[in-house]
Amino acid sequence: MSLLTVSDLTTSFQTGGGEVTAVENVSFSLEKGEILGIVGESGSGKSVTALAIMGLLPRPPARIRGGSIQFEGQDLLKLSDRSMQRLRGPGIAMVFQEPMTSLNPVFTVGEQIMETIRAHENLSQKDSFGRAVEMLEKVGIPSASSRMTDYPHQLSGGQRQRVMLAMALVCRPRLLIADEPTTALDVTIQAQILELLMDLRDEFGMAIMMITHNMGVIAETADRVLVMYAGRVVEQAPISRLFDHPLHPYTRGLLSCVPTLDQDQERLIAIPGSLPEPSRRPPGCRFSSRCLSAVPACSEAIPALETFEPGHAAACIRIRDIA
Amino acid sequence: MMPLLEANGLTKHYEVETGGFFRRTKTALRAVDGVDLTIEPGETLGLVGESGCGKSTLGRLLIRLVPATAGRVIFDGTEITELSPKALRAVRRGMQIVFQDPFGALNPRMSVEETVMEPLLIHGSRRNAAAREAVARMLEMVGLPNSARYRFPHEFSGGQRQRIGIARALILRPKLVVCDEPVSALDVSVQAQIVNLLSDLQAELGLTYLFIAHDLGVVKHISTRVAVMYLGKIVEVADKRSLYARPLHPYTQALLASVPITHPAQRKRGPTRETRITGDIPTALAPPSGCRFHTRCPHVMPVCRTEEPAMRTGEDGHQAACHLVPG
Repeated sequence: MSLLTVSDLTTSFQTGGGEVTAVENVSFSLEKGEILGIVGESGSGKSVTALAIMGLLPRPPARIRGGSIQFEGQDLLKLSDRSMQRLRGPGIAMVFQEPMTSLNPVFTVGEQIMETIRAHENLSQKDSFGRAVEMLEKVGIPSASSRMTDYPHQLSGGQRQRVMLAMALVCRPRLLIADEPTTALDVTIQAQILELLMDLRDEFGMAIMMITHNMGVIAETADRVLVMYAGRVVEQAPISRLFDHPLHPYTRGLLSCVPTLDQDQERLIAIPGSLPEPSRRPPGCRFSSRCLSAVPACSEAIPALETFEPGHAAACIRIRDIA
Repeated sequence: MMPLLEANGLTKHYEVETGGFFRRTKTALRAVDGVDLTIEPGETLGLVGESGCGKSTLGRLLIRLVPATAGRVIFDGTEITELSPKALRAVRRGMQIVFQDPFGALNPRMSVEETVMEPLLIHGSRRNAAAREAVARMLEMVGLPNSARYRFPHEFSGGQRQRIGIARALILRPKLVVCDEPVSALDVSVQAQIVNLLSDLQAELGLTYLFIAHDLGVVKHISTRVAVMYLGKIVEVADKRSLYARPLHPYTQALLASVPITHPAQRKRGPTRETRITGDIPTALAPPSGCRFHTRCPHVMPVCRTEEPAMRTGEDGHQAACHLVPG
């Protein structure tokens, strides 16, 4: 049995202009200890998927219109708020992009980590203090016990992200959702945090959902990748398959539009246009309005995910013609 | 050839209050601390460094959007640090800026036409058919439809807003454009469009760019030369090829080693990551003595803690400020 199985998840938001679908028919699974990369740009639905798994979507305005989220055999969408609360921490934990806005500015780092421990485990003040210090050391905070009394504003961006990681990992979760964990950080700090995440995965054996827009971060960490565009999964593949044989025109575009250090290009290969607003999505394939390989048939129906190789699927009717 | 812009000993210190409530003292935050730099006509000088290193402040000092604490800037033969506001205005025609945040940099109450025409009006044009014609031509050059002129910023995507910002910067046909992280707020699929647009416009209008960014891939793509900044100082300047192929300063080496790989087959774990650095950038309120990078440098020597290394020029003009680099 997979650790996490998301099937046909569809969520929408009530807005002033009517109901908008954020995520549509998203299905994937995640094994114990695996790192699944979820790539997509803003508006692709990757963060909404994560928040739906965490049970953190504000409902209303959000609404789960269909599907199921099975974690270790239980459907999270059917759990009570109380059971969900018990699961967050030891079961599933999450780190966010903005370490400054995710930490409470009026409590010390130590208080915030200890609050997490004491919400789930019956430990004395002294024992939970010890656990928190141990965790801070593990995520590479120097002189951890004296940092316990620091407030978030006294720490640098990289240190704050380490504190967030300590808070997420202190209850030893089986699944860690990392939503753009390094996007707000400098490259030198990003390299440190990614390395730390990989080391912690090896040590704790937890699974990681690595949500990012950065193909480099995916190349560094993921075992398997899901590519999302405008709320739908457009491609899914093992990591080296995706980089060696990307199938979907959007994935190909994402891989070739970023200038890299190891090649020289006269001109970047840009993807024309921009992501359509949810209310102005084209009929049929949502990428068709920006796709250089699009034909009239692309606008007729939303293409289904089709498996081309074991574990490698893509949703595009043109793949056999453009390969 | 005479450089288009030359900066000597350029310095910007901000006074900040530190200490407790009752023991407040003023300390100088050394945002930019003695920078010498030249920009040749027609080139793109890339400026990279981590957040807080002073690269944006330097960009603004060079076109005098903020006054310098010390040092001077010569732009196109004119010393601009001491110019009167009136004389400065005339020089400003030649130097413009494109900002990072395409949402914050446009006035939400001004239509695209008003936004793009405003620099012309400031510099003495009338709001007439000729000005409207200039706006129409500019919009076409940046790839916006003519119908965009009566619309407002909120009606556009991030990439299109950045095109509006570029049109506003270029309508005066400046010689130098400071591009301050022009693509980092955009989605990756849109970044390439804007980078290509900036390259096309440079060729078409003969522009000179100072391209400030933290993305080393984008900087490598667009630049002719690259300058690396650390804690208010330039630590290395070289031709793009030379800098990326043979980085001399340990900080540049560390920056390049930190860039994520492009293919999973390049994954390395463990000791091979030795050139990567640990720790955070120190505060500019109290920069380390000697070489400012010595607290994080993997090759630190005793001399680095006491003596500040001078900029040394090697073959083909590759400059680096490090005691390890032969002078």
